[in-house]
Amino acid sequence: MSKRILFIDDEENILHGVRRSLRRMRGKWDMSFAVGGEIALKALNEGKFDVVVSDMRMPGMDGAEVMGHVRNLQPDSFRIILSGETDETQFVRTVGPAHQYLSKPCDGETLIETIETGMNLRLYVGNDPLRSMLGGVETLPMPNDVLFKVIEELDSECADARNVAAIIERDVGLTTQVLRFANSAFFSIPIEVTSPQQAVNVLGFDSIRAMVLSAGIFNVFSVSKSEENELRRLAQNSYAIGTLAQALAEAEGMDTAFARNALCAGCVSHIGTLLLRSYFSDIFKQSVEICEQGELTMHEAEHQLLGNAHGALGGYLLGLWGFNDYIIEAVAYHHEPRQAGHAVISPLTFVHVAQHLCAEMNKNRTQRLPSHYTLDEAYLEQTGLIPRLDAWREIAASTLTEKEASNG
Amino acid sequence: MWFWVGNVSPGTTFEGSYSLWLVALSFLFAFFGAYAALITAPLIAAANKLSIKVLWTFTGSVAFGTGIWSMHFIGMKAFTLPFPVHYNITLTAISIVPAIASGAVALLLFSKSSATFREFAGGSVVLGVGIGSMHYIGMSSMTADVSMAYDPALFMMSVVVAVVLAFLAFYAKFHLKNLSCRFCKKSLLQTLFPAVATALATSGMHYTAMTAAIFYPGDLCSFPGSVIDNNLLVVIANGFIFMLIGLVIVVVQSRKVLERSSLLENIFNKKTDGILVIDENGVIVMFNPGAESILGYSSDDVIGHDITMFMPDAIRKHHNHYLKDNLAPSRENIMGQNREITVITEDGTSIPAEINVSTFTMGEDIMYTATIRDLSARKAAEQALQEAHEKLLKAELEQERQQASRLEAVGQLASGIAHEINTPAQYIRDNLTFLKEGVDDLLGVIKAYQELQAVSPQDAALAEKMKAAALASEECDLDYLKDEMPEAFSQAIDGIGQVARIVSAMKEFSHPSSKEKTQTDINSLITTTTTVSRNEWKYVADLSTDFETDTLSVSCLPGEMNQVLLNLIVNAAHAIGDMVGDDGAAAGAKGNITISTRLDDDWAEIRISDTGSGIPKSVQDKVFTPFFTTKEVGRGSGQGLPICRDIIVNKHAGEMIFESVEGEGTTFIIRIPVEGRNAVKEKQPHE
Repeated sequence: MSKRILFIDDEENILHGVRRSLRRMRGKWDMSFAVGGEIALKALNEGKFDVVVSDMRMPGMDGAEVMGHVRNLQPDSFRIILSGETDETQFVRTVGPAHQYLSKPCDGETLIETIETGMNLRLYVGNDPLRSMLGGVETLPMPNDVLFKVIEELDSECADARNVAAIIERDVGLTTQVLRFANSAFFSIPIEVTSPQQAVNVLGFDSIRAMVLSAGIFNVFSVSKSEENELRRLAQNSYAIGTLAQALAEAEGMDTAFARNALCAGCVSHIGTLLLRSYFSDIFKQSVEICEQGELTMHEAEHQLLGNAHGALGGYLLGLWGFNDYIIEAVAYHHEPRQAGHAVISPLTFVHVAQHLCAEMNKNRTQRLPSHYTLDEAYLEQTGLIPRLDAWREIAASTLTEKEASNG
Repeated sequence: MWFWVGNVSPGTTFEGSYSLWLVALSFLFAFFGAYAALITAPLIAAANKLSIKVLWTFTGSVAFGTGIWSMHFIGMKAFTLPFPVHYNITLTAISIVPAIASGAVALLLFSKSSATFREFAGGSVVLGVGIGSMHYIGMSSMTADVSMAYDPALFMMSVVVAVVLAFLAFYAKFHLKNLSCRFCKKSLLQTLFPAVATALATSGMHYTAMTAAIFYPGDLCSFPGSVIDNNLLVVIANGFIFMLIGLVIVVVQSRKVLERSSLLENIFNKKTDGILVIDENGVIVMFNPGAESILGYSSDDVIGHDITMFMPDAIRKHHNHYLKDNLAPSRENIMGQNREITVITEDGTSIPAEINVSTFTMGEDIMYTATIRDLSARKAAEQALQEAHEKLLKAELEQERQQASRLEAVGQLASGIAHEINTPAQYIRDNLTFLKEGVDDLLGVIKAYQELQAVSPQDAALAEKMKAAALASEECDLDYLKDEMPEAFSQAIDGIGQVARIVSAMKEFSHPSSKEKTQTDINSLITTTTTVSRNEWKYVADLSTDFETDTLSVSCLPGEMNQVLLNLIVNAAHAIGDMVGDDGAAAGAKGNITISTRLDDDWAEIRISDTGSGIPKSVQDKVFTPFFTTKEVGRGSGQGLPICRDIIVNKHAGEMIFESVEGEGTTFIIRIPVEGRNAVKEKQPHE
């Protein structure tokens, strides 16, 4: 069945141009074109679309508004803004309702690749209601104290990029959004931004402030102390996985871009957990209970209850938000690397190992039995890296101790 | 007068004896006479009328002469001879004349502020001789039944002593006046010391001369005529000198008092400052012309009235209460302090004034004196200044606001233009892509048709059509089209890509930058700036960048940094342009501009190097001077580098230097602190 794609623009020439430049996709895609938001909404009421691509600046209803309606009507649709907009406040408005932002002029290749990547994500989450839930995610929960701390630091006389980054690292949702933001085509930053520190550096304080304060991106809520600690731990654990994965990749002689992808993937690896907590809190609680009984791992429990685990959920959302394939794959399969269907050494390899080593270290240190995390030794065997495991344990010990020390 | 020649045999002369008390008294008389005379010297000098000068000279010289004269006769009384001594009245009276005359000369000399050596040497001779004349005339008035003769050597000696000691007096007055001595006051050297020296001259002369006198039996000193008794003469001399000296001192002192009071009167009557005196009940006692002109009342109108008449209503009711509390500690703070107050003048207007109140007691009464100064003129000037200052500030602010709003407008415009260009750019690119693909497809189709040409058709009509087709493809140069068309589309698509990059850089560059420092990637600023300034350098130079790290994040004002970078890049291009010249540029000769960045500890370092003409040594120290330019009119205002330096040094606490070799090129080096790094280091242990 060919994918149904709806293009919306107030400028007919744009629509003609897009139609012509995508002529080569005529066999695969069923493309519709709507001049303006009203016509588009009519089309959306008549039929289902897999992808909606809209201009931002339009008379009457603008792109952000149109996308808001699309999100409500067809939450599982993949929504892309294609705009020549240069105003940051306008851009920020699109971040909630739309998944990605592409800058005009955008070549056909990029558009096709973006859409195809979005469509391929369905492999991670087969279940329609889950996809609707994930596709409809507009805001991420953020504990109010994190917001206060970020703003406080940004507004302080001696605001420092490293302090800001350190606060961002303490929240998985914020980390994810900051990275998504920094890699958006809107800013056309020539490098791939893979850490909060880098993101703060390239975006600058003003953009970070605008993003954090945008009601359309975060849903700020007050949390209890225990919840706050739990979220903090989730973030710290993710960050530890990221830094360890990066260290391991570097130790194996991987190039900088590779290692940075591993870092980034680790940092955002538990965004799925955050989604489960917020949107499927019952299932999340049940999973924790099952896990505590010690019969299943957390990820198995989630599978059983939901049909998908946090890895896949996270991978799917990150995919919609334009994170690169390596990161999507590493996040989606960090507990079950063989599901990736290949044994090529990739960031996934190191994120998987890093999550295992982190769990192992935690277990050693706290003597508390978490869920029994497992290392997929068969997968490692396939990659030929199994003999390196002992060396990696040493790296883990030194990296994580260092990190502990710097965290006080 | 007789002089004794040869030895004196002891038995033939009369010997006298001295009373030491009277000797001392004689010296004191000489001293008081001289002192009384000398205190008139400043008055003689200050006298502005001849008659006053003459009067004071006369008074002083009489005191002087009488002092000498009295000294002589008291000295004579101190000397007891074994025979009765009387004095001839006429000669006694005459003897005072040389003393007064020489005293007048000496006094006139003393009243001068300076004198030449010749003048005071002459003066001391006159004074010495005057004293001597008085003495010897006085001696010849002596009447007794003896003979008297003088030893010539001692006679000469007596005059020399007088002259030398007089010289000492003048020397003290004129030569020791610049002597800096912590213990001697000026008056001591000016009056006391010369008086002592003059007294020494007089008495020294007298007692030397007395040793020159030899008394022996005979009748040379017995004259007829009226005589005066020695004792009586001394009494007269005493009375005379006391009266005179007393008179001189009283006159001189009262004169000083008069002068002081006239000085006070002058001060009090000055018109500039108002002076008021009130008693402890607040009743006005004195009111000077200055106060009259400030407050508009005449003194007759206000004396005897209450001081509160000048006060605004609000203060008036508290004032008496204040006065009664004058012993309260708070009063201490007001006394002697300059305060600014408001006073009500005769016509009812309020004026600002400065007042300084002090208190004094007169007998049992407490009085207050207030000096008052009209501040209206000063206030008006201050206000005018303030207004001018505010106006200037307002103009500056307005200018800044206009500049800011202009920049904002430019930024918005750029943003709008970017959007407007991006939209058609989108469909131009889409259409070009479509056309390129379409042409590729068509060319495939055409190729398939062309293969038909190889087939020899049976049908004549078909052969005809095929021939026409072959001709048509030849006419339109189909082979050329096949080669060129795909390339033309590719290049057009690249061109649109370039347009997009420029638009995006333009938008970045003119983005209304925040007024506060923000974390910014210096490397992207450089990329943006080189893109927008490409037209400035591309004909004369190749530009390359060398960034040590992917990003170099610095807390800065991005808009201002853009301006600095743009300035330096344009300068580099101009320097290379000067070197290469138009012909060279046409011939393809190009220089190089290299921009590198690196992180050096806590500093971000940007180096902008060119292979241009360099900065001549002679002007190297002027390049940061405002309005200094070596460029022709219209090409440079001379403001660029000073502004850059201001931005770097003053706004970013950075450094901006350059290295330049004439004929080889220039490197500008900018270093700005990354900021906050130290703060992080300090904070870490607490995390």
